[in-house]
Amino acid sequence: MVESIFITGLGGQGIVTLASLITDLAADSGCRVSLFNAKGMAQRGGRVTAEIRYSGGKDDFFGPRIGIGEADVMIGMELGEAASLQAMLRPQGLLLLADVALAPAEVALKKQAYPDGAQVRGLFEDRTKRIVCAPPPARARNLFMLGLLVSRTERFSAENAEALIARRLTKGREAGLESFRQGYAYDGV
Amino acid sequence: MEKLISGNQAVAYGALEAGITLATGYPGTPSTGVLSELLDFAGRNKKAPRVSWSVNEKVAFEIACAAAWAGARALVTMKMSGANVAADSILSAAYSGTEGGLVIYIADDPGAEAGMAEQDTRLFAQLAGLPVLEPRDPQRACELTCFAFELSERTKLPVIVRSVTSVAHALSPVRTEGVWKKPKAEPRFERDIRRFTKAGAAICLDQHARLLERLDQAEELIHEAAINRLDNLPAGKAPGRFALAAGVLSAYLDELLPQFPGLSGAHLEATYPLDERFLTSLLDRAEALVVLEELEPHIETTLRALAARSGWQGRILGKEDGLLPRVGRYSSTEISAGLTALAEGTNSKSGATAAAKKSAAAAAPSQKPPAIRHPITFCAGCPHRGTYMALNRAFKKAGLDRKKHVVTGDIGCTILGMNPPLNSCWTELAMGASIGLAVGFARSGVARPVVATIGDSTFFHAGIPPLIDAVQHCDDLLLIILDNGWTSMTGFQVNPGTAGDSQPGDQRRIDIARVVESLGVDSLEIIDPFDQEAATAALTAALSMSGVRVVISRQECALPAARRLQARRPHLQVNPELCRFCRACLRESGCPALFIDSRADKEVMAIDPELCTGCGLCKEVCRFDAIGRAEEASNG
Repeated sequence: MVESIFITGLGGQGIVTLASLITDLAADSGCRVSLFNAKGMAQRGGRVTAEIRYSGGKDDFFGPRIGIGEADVMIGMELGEAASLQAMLRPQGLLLLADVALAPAEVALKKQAYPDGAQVRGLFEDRTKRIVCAPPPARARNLFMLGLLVSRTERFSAENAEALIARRLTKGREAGLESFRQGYAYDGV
Repeated sequence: MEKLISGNQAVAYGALEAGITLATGYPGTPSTGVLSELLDFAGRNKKAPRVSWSVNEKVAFEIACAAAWAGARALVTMKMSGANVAADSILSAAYSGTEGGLVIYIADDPGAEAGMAEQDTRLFAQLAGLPVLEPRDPQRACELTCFAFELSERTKLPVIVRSVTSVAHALSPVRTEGVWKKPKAEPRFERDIRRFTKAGAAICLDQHARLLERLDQAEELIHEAAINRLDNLPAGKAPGRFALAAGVLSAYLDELLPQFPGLSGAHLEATYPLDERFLTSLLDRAEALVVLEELEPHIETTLRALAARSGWQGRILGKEDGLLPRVGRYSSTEISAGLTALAEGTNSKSGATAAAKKSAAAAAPSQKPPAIRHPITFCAGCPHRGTYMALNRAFKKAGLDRKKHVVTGDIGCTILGMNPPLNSCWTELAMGASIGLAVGFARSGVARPVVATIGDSTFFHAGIPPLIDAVQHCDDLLLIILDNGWTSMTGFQVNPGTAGDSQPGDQRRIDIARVVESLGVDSLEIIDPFDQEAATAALTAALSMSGVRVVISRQECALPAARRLQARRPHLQVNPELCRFCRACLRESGCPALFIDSRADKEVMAIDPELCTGCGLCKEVCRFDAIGRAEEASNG
């Protein structure tokens, strides 16, 4: 059975690193894994997405992209982006939202409203009851979300994740581990 | 060894294993990663093929072509639009054929995720008469690249390896040796004017006939190598229902076929010439078929013709009956729709309706999301921002209405000047087209002055011929060349104008100013986009002159500059006491380092010190002197 994790957010939010860590975790647990990053606009403040798919059998073959409404897990690093890509999550899928709003300059200039965590949660509620919207710390927000993912799913172990973070992060290792643990320990909804 | 690598990296490793002597290309998403990987390899290893970026795809192809004519194996890479640039030489080379293996890697972009056109290279290949291999995943990208060199040498035809974004940019496990097999043969080119010239109809007709023979031979070799395969065949002689999937869709078929018991699969990775023996044996076994291919109904049309010719009585589902779309990228949604229709064997429209419903759900989810998109803007510290700010100001100073004066844009980062808050550019057509379009607008009599804007790499690529046209015909336009010294949009590749100390050891820089000057333009100015006052004055003057005026706006791309320079300029900060929150800085520049700070009792503008590169454009806009430089330069 193929499982799919869809990550959405903006350039500079550490999505490429987060996706690569999840990919390694899945591969380490014996899965065949595929990763697709759309990061072309990352440096220019634009949308970044990552599509991770994995399957327990090493010889299972599957397509690289997640179909509409077929993500088992959606990680939203930014509220507006998560809202506009809500159709990617499958019914009863798991939604992990960072309660972070990064409004574009247009919003500031025109004094438009920008959605907050409660509003975005509301958009998803007819799709799923499995929603967590958590305020991440200022640093290493991507690892906070990784902690949240590991604690709310069966596939990955915290021990393996911590070992991977320690191995992969050369700078900001301690802050990263701290943020991961905060996410892992987060018990809100 | 097995590594998690992208389709593009896998093509690079396939070419190394095939023992290429040389690789060239021009950057273009989603094809860029192949040559980047080979350049990395060449940087790491003393023994490596000769790898370099060319000035454009046509030149890149010609360099690779000559190496292959001399018996070497050569690779050339480009995106689908680049194939149009190289088309003249590619179509002609198909007539001549090749001696050494010549592989053209072309990456298509169904879904236009990188912008531009949903051009289907399989149709281009048909026009040229060149075989196409279409790997389904990174592992096959590596293997089929190797096979492509063999196929090329045995048929003496250049071979196209066609990828799509979902293969080129997807990472999955690939087994590869990761080594370069050093070529043994010495290059040697035999004079043979019947093959390597086009002088005379007899020669051309003969070459055309040889090309068609070689295509037949390619079809044979593709059949022998069993590049296309069948899966889950029906038991006994009972007629089956088959889903044909091409390229990347073959991987989705593997994933979804088990959910449809009773259906069989056909996986196609050689999509031109189509293996008719394979397709005929498929028709012999089938009572119904669905063809799963992105973009044009290329396989479907061939299959329908073959079925009609052989009097086959079954049913073919695909695009021509409206089941599946010709627009956009496919994912499991479309594959499921196709398989469902084939399994039900009833009205194919029901599957189509399901797919359409799902697509509509993506476009308009059940509850309205906020209609706010993050616009793509220039990076913090981008010099292009300064150029367009100065141009907008110059229009105002010259007393000209911006709504009446066309500013053509071009391919690359410079086109982001079309977005708010700058709203400068009106058009984007093709590499170098900003200049030809501006000439045409001016000659057709639209309000003058007409302005063209183009980046440095784009100017070298295709901007020089239209500028020559403008000079020769004494046209009236202002050309602004935004020279940031890098091919930035595709990931900061070196181009002919890149500073000398950033050019690889065996390369040198060409100064755009000297090129422009040598063409005899009526005026040439070089401005610094970070010096708004002087830049605005120069552009104001240039707007009011006549003739071919060229302004080169020169400042290095912020990202390589930050990487290269040890100490950054001191970043800027807002004095909250002086900020009146007029937001002029944001309105005029739209710099992503600016944000609104509402933590204190009043709202003020603020600057993110991590993003700010100290370009100073916001400071130039502020009328209240609220923005100043941080006192100490920050290092790094």
